[in-house]
Amino acid sequence: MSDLRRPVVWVEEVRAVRTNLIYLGIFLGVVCLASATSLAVTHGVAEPLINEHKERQRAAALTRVLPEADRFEHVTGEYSEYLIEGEFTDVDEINLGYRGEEPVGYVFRTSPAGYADEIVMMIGVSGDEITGMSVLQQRETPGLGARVTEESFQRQFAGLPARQRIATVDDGGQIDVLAGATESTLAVIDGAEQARQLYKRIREER
Amino acid sequence: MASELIVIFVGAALINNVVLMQFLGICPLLGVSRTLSMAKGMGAAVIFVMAISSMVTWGLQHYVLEPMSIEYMQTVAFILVIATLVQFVEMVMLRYSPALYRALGVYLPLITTNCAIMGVALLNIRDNYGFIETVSHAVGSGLGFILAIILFAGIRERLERADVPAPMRGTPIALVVAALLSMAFMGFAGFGVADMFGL
Amino acid sequence: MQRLWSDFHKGILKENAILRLLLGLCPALAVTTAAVNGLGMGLASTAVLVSSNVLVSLLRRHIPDKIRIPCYIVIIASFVTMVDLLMEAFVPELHEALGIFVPLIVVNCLILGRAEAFASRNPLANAISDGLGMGLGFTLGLVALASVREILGAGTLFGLSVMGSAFRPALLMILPPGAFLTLGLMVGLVNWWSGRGATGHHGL
Repeated sequence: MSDLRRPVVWVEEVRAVRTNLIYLGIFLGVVCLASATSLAVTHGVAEPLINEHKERQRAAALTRVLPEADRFEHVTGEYSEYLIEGEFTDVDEINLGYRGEEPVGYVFRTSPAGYADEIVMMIGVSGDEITGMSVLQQRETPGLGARVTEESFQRQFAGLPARQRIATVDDGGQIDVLAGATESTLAVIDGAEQARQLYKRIREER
Repeated sequence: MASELIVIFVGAALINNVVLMQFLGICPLLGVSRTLSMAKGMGAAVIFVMAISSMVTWGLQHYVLEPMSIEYMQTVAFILVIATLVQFVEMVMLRYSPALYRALGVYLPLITTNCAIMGVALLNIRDNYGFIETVSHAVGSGLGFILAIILFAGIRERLERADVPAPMRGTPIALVVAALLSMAFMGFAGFGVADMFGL
Repeated sequence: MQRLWSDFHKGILKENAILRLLLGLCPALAVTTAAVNGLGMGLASTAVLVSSNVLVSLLRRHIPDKIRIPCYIVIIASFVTMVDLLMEAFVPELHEALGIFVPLIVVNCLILGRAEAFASRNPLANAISDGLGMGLGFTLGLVALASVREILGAGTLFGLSVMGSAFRPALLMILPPGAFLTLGLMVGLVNWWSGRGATGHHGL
């Protein structure tokens, strides 16, 4: 049965719904736009402060592991041939430390895989010894693996001879394993070892 | 590559269980684990939303947010994706399984505020996963969630008949159960009881 | 005036978010490994809660009913991002400690819950009151939980050693099981003290 009135009513209903939908869409769109704008502003304000903090942290970490240097140069690009080989897979950054115009040592940033996630650390080497180790980021278990950030643990690395393999005490080396955190400890040692060996290689070949 | 994927998968499902170790998805865990059938329904919905939302948010991050340098829109964008997906799941469920839709009731829209889904989406980015790793992580986490919620429901159904002191009835005793389950899951990670007590 | 006060203080004890309404449990369990983290998370969440309550209350007659939830979500998510960015800029160590749980404030059912249940139906002053009260209650809950875990699990409170050197911390308290256990016992304690079960937002 065809009712000639029905199509007209139907079209009007559709028009009403469509307008309403459009209004809803526009309203939501405006809300999203307001959100995006206010966030862009906040981001503009916050970003310089965030970057400044990151820079300061980096500089502090570099100086902490190579105290003799007063400035650092990022030189990863110049040594890239070593990093491609696959032997030093966890080394992701090489910095050269200077005192004045004299190069005094290197700082390597490595990210070995820890127990939970990667452990980002810096190792400083100068002359024939390791000048320091500092853990920058880790997500190990609090109270256990997270103790790799403790001063007493990190201090063990400073002063170790660059010629000798870094290992746990049980393994003939100098590092005490953290109680209940064998994997985290070994990860840090692995990161330090890679840096040490890369340093050895650089010294031999340059 | 395959072994890495398996590590991510098993890690999210068992060793670093998304609910009992990473604390994501507690509200639905406590809310929907009363009966086994609700738990299964919720679990299925969650794993679906988790997998799809992880894929979509990953794509959004790498093809829209990063190229346009608007990474700060991540939270807003991600939660809108999730809310839309949940709405979609609701419509599909209403159409094809109205009984389940009614049974889950108010918990269905609450999937949007399920921190497990948003949390997993954020972790995919934070841990720099590629696309396949993201899928592995999302499905693994979803399964970990289902595992936790079903274990929980099974225990709680029994607990209903136990003589629990009045103040502890309901959520408090459920949390204590969660504590024990969590300890059990820590066993997967190689933790012994002695380690936990600092002995 | 009377209303304003009751809107405020109900959130602190009677309808405490964590211990009675059982909302916001994910961050409650995850970040309360140290009292200072609990405090930081509580204050951040309160900031978002009050801001979103304010905006939702101001716009309550203009937001179309059909899309109110997505609108609330965008509003809350925006404030969460603002808090996230500002924390990263001004308190980076705390921000790093709280990790992904800062953006996860967006899925804290407390905030969306208050927007929907209260802010969308009440004038500005009441919405602010409610936000402050609920936020304060949430913060107190977090700090209480975190303090117990920190004292028993690490022997410190806000970083200061309080248990003496002879104390062997129960590491369990800082790990996930400790979180569940402590919260469970605290909710049980509050139930016992108030003589009735937790109301639970979703009938938990």
